[in-house]
Amino acid sequence: MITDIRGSVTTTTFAQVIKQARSHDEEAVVALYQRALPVIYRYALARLGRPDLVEDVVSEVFLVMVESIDELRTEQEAGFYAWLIQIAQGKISRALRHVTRNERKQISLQNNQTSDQYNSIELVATDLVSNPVELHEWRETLEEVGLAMGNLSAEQQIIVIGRFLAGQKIEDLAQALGKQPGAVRILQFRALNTLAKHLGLARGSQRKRKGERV
Amino acid sequence: MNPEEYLDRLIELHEQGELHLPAINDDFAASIVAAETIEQLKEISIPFEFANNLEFSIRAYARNLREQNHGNISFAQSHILSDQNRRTIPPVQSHSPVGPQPLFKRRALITFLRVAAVLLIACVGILTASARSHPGDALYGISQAEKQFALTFVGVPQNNASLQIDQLRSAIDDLKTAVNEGRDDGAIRLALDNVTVKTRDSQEAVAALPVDSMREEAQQALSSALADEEQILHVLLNNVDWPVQLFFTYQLGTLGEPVPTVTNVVVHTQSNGTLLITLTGMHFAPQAQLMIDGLQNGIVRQSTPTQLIAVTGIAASSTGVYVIGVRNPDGTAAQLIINVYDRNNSGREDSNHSRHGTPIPNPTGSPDN
Repeated sequence: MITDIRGSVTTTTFAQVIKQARSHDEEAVVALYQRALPVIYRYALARLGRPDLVEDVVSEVFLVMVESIDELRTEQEAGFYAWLIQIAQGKISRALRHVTRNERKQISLQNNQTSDQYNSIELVATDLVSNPVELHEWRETLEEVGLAMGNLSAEQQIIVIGRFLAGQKIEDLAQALGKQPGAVRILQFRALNTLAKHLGLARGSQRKRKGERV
Repeated sequence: MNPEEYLDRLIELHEQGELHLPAINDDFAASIVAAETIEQLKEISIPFEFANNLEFSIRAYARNLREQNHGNISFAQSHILSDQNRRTIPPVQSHSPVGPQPLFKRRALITFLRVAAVLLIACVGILTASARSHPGDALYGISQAEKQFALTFVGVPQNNASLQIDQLRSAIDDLKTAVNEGRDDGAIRLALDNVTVKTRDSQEAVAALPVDSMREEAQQALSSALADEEQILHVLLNNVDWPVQLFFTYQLGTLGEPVPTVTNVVVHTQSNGTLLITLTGMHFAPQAQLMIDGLQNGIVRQSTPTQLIAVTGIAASSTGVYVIGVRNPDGTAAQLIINVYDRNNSGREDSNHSRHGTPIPNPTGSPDN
């Protein structure tokens, strides 16, 4: 089940929405937010794995978006996503540093309750909530995806998220990143290889992934 | 078609719902499954309440920014509005104990940190500049305060002595710079005062050490510094003006140097109308000069280590306050301020019709003898 919150960027072009948002037009800004929220939220959740942190990070990303939208040079949707993902990457890195630092402190105090506390926060994953086994598997998958994605370069992450979560075309992503489509395909190829390797899908990996469909 | 294009084509076919993909090898299959795994993230639903609250905050924020940008409201009004917004719009709650701060707090924190950073940079700049300052510079006082401050944190007496000696050497360097750069007498005096203070403090710090090898070591370091001080004072003596020469001489005297001193002055009127001036004191060197009011004057007729007799052409009728002094060839000097009066006019008995000098306090506070 996909529960997207899609903005109403239907009657007008994306470029017009960006133009209006640059002057902090409330409706335009909210339209961009509604369009990008699912992508940024899911990306952040995949990277961080903790809904409590994700909400903070996502809030910050969108407040920065509102604040800095006039600095956005592109009027293209793929460019907008690339820009927003870059902001998210910075926020995620900072949150991860906070977590690492905090966990070190917790360990030094011999208080190991943190992980239990965070594990108790349920990931909202559609209809899996009613099935504990599937929910557990889903959590594992999410954790693996997060770890695997951490092995991609910032550009590779933009391409993978832009392509598979935001549904952007290779040509549009290439234009957003100022590259040739061929170069973006190479980056995509390498990124998927890396992901496959770290998800245990590639030849020679430790195990085959559950629920293989191809 | 290269592998990258081929994989992209396969992904497109898969996205279009093509179930039977062309024959592919394991690597391509793994990549497509990886892409599919990422796509599975779309199954994550967004918490409705969070999305709503955030949207509310974004609307309010965008509205505020728009109003401020368009200048529709005054700055004060914008604050009232933002205050109202903060009251009426539910903020995005932070669930994380380590998570980021709310935006407004974060902004305040960032502003505070920026101001703190600017102040820190300014302080570092001032301290750096003051460290390079010399007597007469505006920042010299800060440099001295900084050195004094450093001394307050020295716990061990050995370290204190060592630091004092270092500061003495630094003060000597400052004095040398002040003289060599031709700074005014005030700046040179300031530098010399600093040398005087540091000399005394170093001597006291070393004297306070217990008698052991550490003290011997400190004493050697101090002796070396004081020898340098003496040598530099001697070198600089000929490059400074008369009043400063007196202060240099005084400092050399505190270091144990045999410097000239004047204890008495007698002025006689000679039959030819000139004045015969007799200075009594100590450590007058051969070829020492008579100095009157800071200027070389008269011809020295006789000079011994304790007496100097000179004749000057000052008018015999001249009475009043004079500064009579002596300057040795090495630049060391001494003076006495005297009140010259006529014994005949003052009713005092004086068979030689001589004018007598009465030492009076030095109004300028200079080191007279």
